[in-house]
Amino acid sequence: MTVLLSGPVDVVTAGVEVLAEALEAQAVGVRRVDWRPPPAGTAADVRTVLADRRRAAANATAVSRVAAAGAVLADVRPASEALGIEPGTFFHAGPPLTFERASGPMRGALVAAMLYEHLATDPDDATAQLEAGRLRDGRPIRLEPCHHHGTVGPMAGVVSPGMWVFEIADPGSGRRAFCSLNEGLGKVLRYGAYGPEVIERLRWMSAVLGPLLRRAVRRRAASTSGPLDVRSIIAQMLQMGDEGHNRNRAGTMMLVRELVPELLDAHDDADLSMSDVADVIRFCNGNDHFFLNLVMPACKLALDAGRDVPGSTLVVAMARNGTDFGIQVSGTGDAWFTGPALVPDGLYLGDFGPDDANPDIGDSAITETAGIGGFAMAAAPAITAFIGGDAELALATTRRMYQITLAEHPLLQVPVLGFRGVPLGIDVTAVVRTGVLPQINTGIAGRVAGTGQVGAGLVTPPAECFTAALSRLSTLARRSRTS
Amino acid sequence: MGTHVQVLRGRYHDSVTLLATSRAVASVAGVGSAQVAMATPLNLEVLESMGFTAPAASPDDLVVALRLDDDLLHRGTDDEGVVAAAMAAMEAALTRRPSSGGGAVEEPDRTTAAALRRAAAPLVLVSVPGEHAAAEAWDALDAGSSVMLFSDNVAVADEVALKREAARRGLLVMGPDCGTAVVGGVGLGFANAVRPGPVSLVAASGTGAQHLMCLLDAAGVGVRHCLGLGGRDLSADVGGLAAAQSLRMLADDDGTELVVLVSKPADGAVVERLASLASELRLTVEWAVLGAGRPDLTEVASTLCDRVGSAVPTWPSWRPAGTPAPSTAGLLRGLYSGGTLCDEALAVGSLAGLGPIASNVAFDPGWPRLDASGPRALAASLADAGHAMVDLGDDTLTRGRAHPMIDPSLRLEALADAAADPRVRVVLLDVVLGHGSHPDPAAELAPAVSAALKESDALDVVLCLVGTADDPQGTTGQAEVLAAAGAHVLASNAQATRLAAALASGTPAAGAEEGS
Amino acid sequence: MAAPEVVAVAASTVLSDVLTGPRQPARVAGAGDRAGYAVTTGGDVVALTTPSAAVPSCAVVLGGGRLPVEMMVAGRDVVIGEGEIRTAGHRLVVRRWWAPARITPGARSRNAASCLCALMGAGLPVPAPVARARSAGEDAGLALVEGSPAVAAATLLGVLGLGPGLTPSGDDVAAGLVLVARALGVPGAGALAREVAEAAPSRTNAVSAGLLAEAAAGRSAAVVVRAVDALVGRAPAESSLRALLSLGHHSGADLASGMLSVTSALGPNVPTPAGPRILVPTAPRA
Repeated sequence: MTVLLSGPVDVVTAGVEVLAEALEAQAVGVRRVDWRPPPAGTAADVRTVLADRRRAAANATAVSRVAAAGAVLADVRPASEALGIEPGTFFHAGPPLTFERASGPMRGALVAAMLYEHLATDPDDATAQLEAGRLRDGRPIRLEPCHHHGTVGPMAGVVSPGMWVFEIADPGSGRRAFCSLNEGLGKVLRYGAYGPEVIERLRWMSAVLGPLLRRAVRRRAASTSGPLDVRSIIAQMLQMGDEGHNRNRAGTMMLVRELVPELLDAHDDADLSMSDVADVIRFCNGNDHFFLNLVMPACKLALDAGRDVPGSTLVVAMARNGTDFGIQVSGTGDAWFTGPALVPDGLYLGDFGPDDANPDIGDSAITETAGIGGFAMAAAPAITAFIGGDAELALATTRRMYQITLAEHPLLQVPVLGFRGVPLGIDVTAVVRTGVLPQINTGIAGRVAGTGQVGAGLVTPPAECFTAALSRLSTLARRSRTS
Repeated sequence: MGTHVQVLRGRYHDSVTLLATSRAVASVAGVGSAQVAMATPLNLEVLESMGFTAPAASPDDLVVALRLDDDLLHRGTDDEGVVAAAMAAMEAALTRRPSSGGGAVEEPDRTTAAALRRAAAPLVLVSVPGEHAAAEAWDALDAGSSVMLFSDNVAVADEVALKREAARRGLLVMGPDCGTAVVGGVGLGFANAVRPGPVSLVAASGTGAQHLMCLLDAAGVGVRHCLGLGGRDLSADVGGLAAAQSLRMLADDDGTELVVLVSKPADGAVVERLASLASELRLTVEWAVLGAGRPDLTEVASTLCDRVGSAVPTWPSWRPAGTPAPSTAGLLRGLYSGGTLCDEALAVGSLAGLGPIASNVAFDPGWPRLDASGPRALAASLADAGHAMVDLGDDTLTRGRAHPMIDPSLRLEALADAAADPRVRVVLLDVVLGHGSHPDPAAELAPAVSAALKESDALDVVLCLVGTADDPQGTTGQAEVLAAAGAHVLASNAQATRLAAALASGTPAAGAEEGS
Repeated sequence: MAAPEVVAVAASTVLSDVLTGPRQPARVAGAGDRAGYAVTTGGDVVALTTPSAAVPSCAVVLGGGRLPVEMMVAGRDVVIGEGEIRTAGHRLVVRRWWAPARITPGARSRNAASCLCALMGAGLPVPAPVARARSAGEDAGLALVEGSPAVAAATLLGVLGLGPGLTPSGDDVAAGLVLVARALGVPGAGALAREVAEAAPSRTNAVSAGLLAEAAAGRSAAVVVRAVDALVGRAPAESSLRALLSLGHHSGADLASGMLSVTSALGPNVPTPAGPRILVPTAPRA
């Protein structure tokens, strides 16, 4: 006998309230869907994509790959060596961008990178070359999204050949992802600052921080404990009040705790300067976001595992370049679906206010794409002191994200929700149908090049990214049906 | 060493609760050990073995056995005080209920998929606007739930795709445009409260199914399930996908002894396929195809009574209050809210020798068609018509207002018009009770019937009342109010139609069909 | 005092007479976490519970919300009749009737018995009274199959009320045995069922006696009937039998033990053709 005809009948209802009430009057257990119409013009695409019989299995495959991906800290290397990046080529955050359309902080960061790479004498010179699209010696200037190179970068996300990057590996598949080293807070390149102190810090990072970290990371990788397990630290930080995007304090402490012995163990290196070691530890300790630049590539690695599953509606990247917000989807290959980046809503530093804010910027929304950051806010109620709102908002935000995700992460859990797994795997169709947009916790960059960070807050993608992706998925679904 | 044994008559608690209770009582100061247990022979044996004197008690009784601490100084109170404290602790432990478990508010589920992920359900009832309905239905099928699609305006291609997938997964999609279903006694959409019984319906017609179920309920036969198909399922386009799946599911349903398929005339090839499927399944299916020259629903109900070995009852009816109208001939006005009931009245009426009956429903191509493009056009069209039968639930008449089963205003106007028309001899109405319908149709209709009868001495109002004793509106109460207002009230639509036709043709023995 | 809160409930047709008849007093005789049991002065058991496959065949089911606490505390007085149950704070009004699951005679095979044995094999050691009840079940099963329903009855009566729980082990073993014996059409099964049902009120608690009477009439919770169906080849075996074994405390395993006592006494499986489908009596009317 079927369940329908033999069991107790409890009913889920979507639609007219009187029909639900009539069931309750008959002592039937009723659960109502809080249904609301999706945006006009999307209904046909929603139907087509939901009717795509590849979808359920494709999503299950994609999201299980994301959940299964590991992440260990394999190495720290110069970008030129790790990514083969040539002088005059700059990686940047978000979907593809021309200098012409770049926002203030993106321009500022590119200027800083030109100065840092000794390609320009001063900011005006750097700007002129960037506008011309050519270096003074005639070689072209290339702007490339980090995401096209297995890389992610916070805020402006600019990576140039001389910068050092973390190399994160998935031991299962051997795949790699990369991210620059975090510069700290205040006036920094990633927020678009390019003053002398910015360039000086970047130079120290390449000369001292990078090489010492490399030494420590390689020693650790070669030790009996093996390479540092980044995913395991992420799981722990969620239990210690971090959400892995705008709060990385516990994660940073755990990273430092792991690396200090390797930094101090100097018996095989007579040239090691103990004051450099102290500076490195001081630098890492003094920057609560230092671990963010390991969280991001760990997330990137996981989501890359979910790419290119035909029929899957899983979002595999959300990234902003300060002008556009773009998403990529498993079932639509490398296509970006973009819309104008929104200005975050949040708290401002000092005398800064909303007028000073640049639209949303950075690859760091890869954390939300992977189920943490804004999605795991319930794990980090203290974050609300930094970005606004209260603890209830943190709980409600995480709960709401389950409405648009495909799964719950088996390892990354939220203690206050009874160790429920974080909401993992944004489903394009669910976002369009519910109108619930992914919640992103983010820093706010100054609008004017050179300003740096002006605040932190909450932001969402523009809805059109998702309707555009859905439209493409619908086209592909129809094509697969007829082929 | 003191002991205390007490029997509490007729109090049952489960062993897990009692274990926790024993522990709570033993922790009371002055209590050395405690046993709180049901007085089963076994438990009494255990008490004996512990050195207690087992009391006279039955297995329904609760026995409390306490061994008190010797050290009076240590406990600081007398035996009585300790026993009282122990009994209070026992009561507290026995009446403790688990807490509700957290006050945090869950986010409401915004899609059927999210709701079903939270907890599975065998059935999803979808009534969102048509263009969005298939999405919720796909969610349901993907989660392994069957669907009732109350929504209309769902594309045929979506209907076919959903029903194919449902069959593949052993699930059922009822609808789109499925207004009535009953699953295990649960009425969905427009449905009556029917008692359980051995007959299951597979129905492409909403009010037809309701009428048949109410007759089966009145006959004491009862109904197991009524699986709705939606109006298009038996067309060549859809090919009877839901009907076939319904038959498969009912063949496997132990409570179903007899299946009746209720529909208007359907695609011949589809019916043939379903018939061969039924015989393959060794399923007994009664085919109730409605239309001219075919058995009406009342005859179908009688057949079904025979088939399950139940006596065919006299179908309930209620005589009108007041003096009968003179036996003159005149026009018939059928003002129906149920489409299938209107069809049936046309079919029955066509045999009653009234001649052509105008209608907004296509029935006999030789008969005049009413203009039902809107309420005004209809009123004008009726003013010139002879005998007429109107389906007031027609899409063109319900635009911008609720269905006449919920909103009676359109019908009340038509009733007043008929009363004002001296040519009209009898008005024939249906009233459909049950879940989803107007909560008290008699309260609206009875004054209008009274007023109509007051306006015209030569008028009769005949009313088919579709309902059951257990319906929220209560069939008997509704019938009595309507009869008191002067209407002939009958449970059978066919009988009501024949009575109305007889009255319209001036036949004196018109009342013959009314029962008790 | 506030007017009692009206709650819609769905009632088993088994309770049609007691619920729609004149009002009569009843007392809550037992309560678990998910069900309360009222017993009328006439000995009728009315269970109040939330929907699940384990709802007894003589139950009134709440659609949603929490069970009224007055039905969950043993010793409280309630009034049953005229279509409702009245408690101190609630009126539980019957809005819907449902037909409980019942045994369909006619076995197709007995292959699933080995599946049930395998599923039970991993069980933990049981307390002595439970073991005693199960072993009596085995003796009764043999006696019944060997044509001595009176011996079988005497054996079962010896363990009624034995063991812990709302439904003591002895009662569950007897219920399982009676249900399967009826499904397999073992001669004497009806007489045995009647004798057990008649003797139960004096040997076990009133709630369990009421449930045993239901089993004797071939009715039980859907999950139990489905397990019987599985054992006689009419339902998928593993999922149905697992669901049975997951029933509270020892109940599932005790029922299973009673069921197996008949199948093992009958020996190796002999496939039988599908039995005739019998007509369910018409719904009782108020």
